[in-house]
Order: sequence, then structure tokens, then C-alpha cells
Amino acid sequence: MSEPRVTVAVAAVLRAFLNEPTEPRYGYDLMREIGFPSGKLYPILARLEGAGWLRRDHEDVDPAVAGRPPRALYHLTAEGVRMARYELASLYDQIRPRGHALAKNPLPEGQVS
Amino acid sequence: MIDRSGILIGFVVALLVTIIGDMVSEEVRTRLDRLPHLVIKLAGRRLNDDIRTQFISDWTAELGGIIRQHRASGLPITRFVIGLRFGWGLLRTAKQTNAALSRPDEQQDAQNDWSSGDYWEAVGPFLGTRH
Repeated sequence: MSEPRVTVAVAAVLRAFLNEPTEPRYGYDLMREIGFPSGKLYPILARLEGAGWLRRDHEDVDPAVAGRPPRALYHLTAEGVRMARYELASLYDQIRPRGHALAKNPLPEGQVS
Repeated sequence: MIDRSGILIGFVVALLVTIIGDMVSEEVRTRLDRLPHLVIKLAGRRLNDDIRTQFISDWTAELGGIIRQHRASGLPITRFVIGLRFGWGLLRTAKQTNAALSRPDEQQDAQNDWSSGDYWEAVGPFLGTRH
């Protein structure tokens, strides 16, 4: 099981899950929330599932009654919650504007750069 | 004086045209609804045997959910486009999905080679173009 590379797109998916970490999500609902097409979302879900960060279950419906197979539901695993929080925090640290740090140690008065 | 048999024939012809028109419309609507399912089956052919059946089932169920959400709108073309876009995206990246859930040695083969060959031959007649 290899750790997935957390790109900005993967981070967007993780953030959507972390909004409600215990809530199972349908793929189409994630597509609408994040704005990713199926061709972008589903490989990411598969990578996260392959890494053990996501678990894929199925809704509890009778296919004969529903007239279709049960839809897949994706959950963050405990490991997934932990890693998602860690990776999003790391990503934020990487992209945080340097000005944030400068604000704590402003340049001496009169110095431009 | 109006010929009564002419009126009758005109009425029957109008009735037949209406009925046949409805039948053709229903036929087209049904076929449009089925095409995204076909694309999903093609996407499934790009997956390994051990996950193919489950993923085709999952994707088909998701497509059913999408179509049901849009059925209330009563817009078959919109429904068709949304369903086809969903299936097409899966088809285009099925090898990536497959690689993510495969053994590491198989992951090396996971190039995004969706432009190469096999399913264009199968889907081309439905979409009319390769681009």
C-alpha cells in the first residue's frame, strides 16, 4: 500500500471529506461539491482507497426494489482522517504566503526590501 | 361540399402520424438513456478482472442516481449529455483507476493512453468523432 501523492486536486477531495469526516459520500455528490468531472475524481478516489485512506461501502438497498445496483459510498478511514489532516496542514504550510511570517518580524522602518 | 371520407382519411392519417411520432420519440429517448451505460461497460473493459464487475456495478448505480436526479427535469437531451460526460470521464481514465487499485508492478503500466486505439473503435460510431 503506497502513500498517494497529495496534489492540489487530491487535497480538494480530502478537504471535502474532512468537512464531515464521519459522513459517507456518493461520488456524484463529491463531483458537484468539488466541481471535478468523473474522469478526475474517480482515479483520485481509487488512489485514496488503494492507500487505505478511504473505504468503499455500498448503500443498503434492495436492487430488485430499487431497480439498480446499490450505489458506492466512500468513507474516510481513521488513518485517512489522520493523514488528510496532516497532509492538508503540510500543504498549507508550503503555500502560505511569506508575508505571514514577515508580519511577525516586519522590516526595519524605511527598508523597502 | 366536403367529402366525408376525405375528412375521415385525414383524421386517421393525423392520428397515425401522432402515434408514430410518439413511438419514435420514445425509441430515441430510450436509446439515449442507454448509451452512457454502454460507455461505462467499455470503461469496465479497461479494468482488471478482479475489480471489473464491482466497478461496473458501482458506476452503473451512480449513473442511475444521476439520471434519476435529472429525470424530474424532463429534459432527455440534458440527461443524456450529463450521463455521457460521466461515462466518458470514467472511460478516459479507467486505466488510472485500475492502476491505483492494482499491484505495484502493474501500476507501472498505467499510462494515460486513452487516445490509443481500442475503445475509439467501439465508441466512435456513437460519438462520430475522435476529438
